[in-house]
Amino acid sequence: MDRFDKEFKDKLNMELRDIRLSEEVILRIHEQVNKEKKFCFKDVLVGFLNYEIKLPYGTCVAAVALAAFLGISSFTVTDKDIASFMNRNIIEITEYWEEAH
Amino acid sequence: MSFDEIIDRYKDAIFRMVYMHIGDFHKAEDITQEIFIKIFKNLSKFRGDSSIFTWIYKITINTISTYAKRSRTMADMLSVDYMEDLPDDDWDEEKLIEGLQNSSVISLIQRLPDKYKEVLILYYYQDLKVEDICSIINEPQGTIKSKLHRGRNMLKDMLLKEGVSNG
Repeated sequence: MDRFDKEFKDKLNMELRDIRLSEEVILRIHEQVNKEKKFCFKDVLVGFLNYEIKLPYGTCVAAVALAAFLGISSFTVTDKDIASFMNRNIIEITEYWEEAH
Repeated sequence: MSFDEIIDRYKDAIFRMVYMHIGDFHKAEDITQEIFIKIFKNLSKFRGDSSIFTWIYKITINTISTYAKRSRTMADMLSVDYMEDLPDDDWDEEKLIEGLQNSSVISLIQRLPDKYKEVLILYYYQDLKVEDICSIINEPQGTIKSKLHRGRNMLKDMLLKEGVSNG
């Protein structure tokens, strides 16, 4: 740095001395950060999917939805299930009465 | 370093950089807020490949550039660098120093084209070396040195034309 550079730097720092970020803006930043923290789980998930295993978030949501649908479908109770459940209990109760009497 | 520590340490430095680029106090506040939110969102992804201040200033410069591109007027796009490359010792140093006393250097910086502005701010205000500026702006040393030289010459030219006549 030559003399001009040093003088320029000093003058610049002197002019900037009173230019500061207001407390109001700092409060706004903290408020927005708190709002962002509420969505933290989604951000972590998106970050993990995009940056760690390179899978788009939408694909993951679709896969989870499909798995849930298939899972629920396989556990759906049909009329046939109810009929066989009732028949089995009737047989068991009948056997109990026959043994008891 | 926690986010609160980053705010405490860099709040004024970032705000001043933005203000020097943009020239509007309220817009500079909004852009500074946007920069800190970006820092917060990306802090978990910072892996320490560069120093934290290089990373923070990269985000700052990128955000300012995005804003500057959006708000660039046709006049800015058509402006050309009018300075010829004068050697450093062709300037009258005494007159330059006199010009400095009579001018607002912030307003001189604000009138420079963006590509010179960002380099000069990092050099004069952040006191960074050319190598550090290279890693922030992602340009080779030769380009940064050339921008520094031409930007400095533009400042000197403005100082001689305006600073001396004001005094």
